[in-house]
Amino acid sequence: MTATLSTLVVCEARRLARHPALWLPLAVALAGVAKAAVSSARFQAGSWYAGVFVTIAVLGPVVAIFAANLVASNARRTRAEEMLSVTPTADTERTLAMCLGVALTLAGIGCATAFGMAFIAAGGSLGTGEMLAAGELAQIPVILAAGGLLGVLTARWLRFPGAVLVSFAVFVLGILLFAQTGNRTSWWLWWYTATPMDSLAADITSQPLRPASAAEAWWHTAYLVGLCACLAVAAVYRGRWRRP
Amino acid sequence: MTVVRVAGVTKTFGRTQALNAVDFEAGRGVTGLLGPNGAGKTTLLRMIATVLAPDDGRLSLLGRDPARADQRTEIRHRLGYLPQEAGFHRGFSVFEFVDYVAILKSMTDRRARHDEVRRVLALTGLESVGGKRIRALSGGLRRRVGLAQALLGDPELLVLDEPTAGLDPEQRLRFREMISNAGEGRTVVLSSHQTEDLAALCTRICVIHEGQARFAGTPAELIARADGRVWTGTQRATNALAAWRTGEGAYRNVGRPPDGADLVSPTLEDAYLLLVGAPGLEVRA
Repeated sequence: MTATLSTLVVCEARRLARHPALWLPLAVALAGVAKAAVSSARFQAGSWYAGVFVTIAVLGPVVAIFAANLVASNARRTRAEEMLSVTPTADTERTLAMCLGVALTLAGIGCATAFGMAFIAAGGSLGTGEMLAAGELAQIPVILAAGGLLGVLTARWLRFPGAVLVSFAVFVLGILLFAQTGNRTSWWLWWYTATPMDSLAADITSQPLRPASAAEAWWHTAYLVGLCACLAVAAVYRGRWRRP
Repeated sequence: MTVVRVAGVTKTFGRTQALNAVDFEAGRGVTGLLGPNGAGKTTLLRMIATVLAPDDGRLSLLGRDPARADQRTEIRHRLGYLPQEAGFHRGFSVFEFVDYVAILKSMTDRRARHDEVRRVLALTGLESVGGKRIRALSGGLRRRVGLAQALLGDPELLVLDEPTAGLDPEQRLRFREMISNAGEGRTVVLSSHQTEDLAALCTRICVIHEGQARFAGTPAELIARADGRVWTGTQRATNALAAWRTGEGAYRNVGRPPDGADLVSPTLEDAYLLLVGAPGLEVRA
């Protein structure tokens, strides 16, 4: 990695981490989880555990798509692109830095979440059916990183005014529609494998859920990493397909 | 020494021919591009800034060929560019934005880079607003931020597209001073509608009209072309190219004189009007 690239990665990571579109919804959701847990008659580790998981692994990717899209499309939306393009750093290098900065920041948040959940579970008050296995916890940082990379990819490929909001609306609608009609047994269509906690959601989807085995969870993590790589490549080399 | 050499360059956007076999050269000092809206100035500057490639013709910048990727990168190491519509990342402070561009310009040593950012902020009089968000700045200060980022790394070639557009008289004078200082020892190519700015700053001027270079030379040479063709009198010449009443009440006529008019010294503006003159340019009093 060149010195310019590594410096840019830090810069892009800082830009995303500071963006209110990322931390504000997550902070509000986590505050809601905290409030619910604290106001309950007795401290329930299970509520914390499930609340944090749902906030970060379910809401997190959606927020990450939107925030990363905003950050990655900022230069185009503010007409700064031309000024930045006349620098020795190539478009592909700048996008690679953006992808790494976004993915590493979000993966960092995911890792912190996974460690936090493992910390709650270490208290010993959770039942076996309430806890995620290591392979399932490992999916959280990758899911978040994938959400961010999808946002960068969208910013690179959809370059019309209003693309940020349009793509966000399409993603959210797509997720909602899929949640209503999707086949839960096609595990690879989902961003995380079925967990023991999904039995709670069975009432909503009205479909029986089979928690993934440990091997399936790790395979799914590897599959998500592969998806992340594909997203990054498609974003970085967007310029190759752009008309001159 | 010729730093910018443009030979027979042509550029077409759809059905519009922006440039038609333009020849242009610029050496050390400030060279100005003058021309009406849509003449092709910005297209030519964007080519010199390596943003656009010509459809036809040859371009040589700092002795290198921007059509070749490796040489284009070398050129960009030694180039500063302020586009006509300079936008800035939302959320960045002045210092952060210039620092970000410095990173893109391959300045990786943090301390040296920050020193360089402070230097260009001082050159453009922005030290006191370094911590302010760019979106909170006035148009004039934002323009200076654009100039500051262009000056990063002390580039040998500085390309400025209408740097004084939209600035009030005081800011224009400040900009003139900054560009004049920047032009010492390096090549500055700028475009402007403001003939006074070009007359005050430029060692050479190129007039572009309808995608073609109509004149290239010193401001004095351009003004000399209007010798004997500018008059003042008590009445407006009906067949003058342009005529208007001045603050003193006399009519200034460019082109043909009315009866009883006195010959006066032309300005760069008069010479420009005569060069690109068209019936639509006539000014009614």
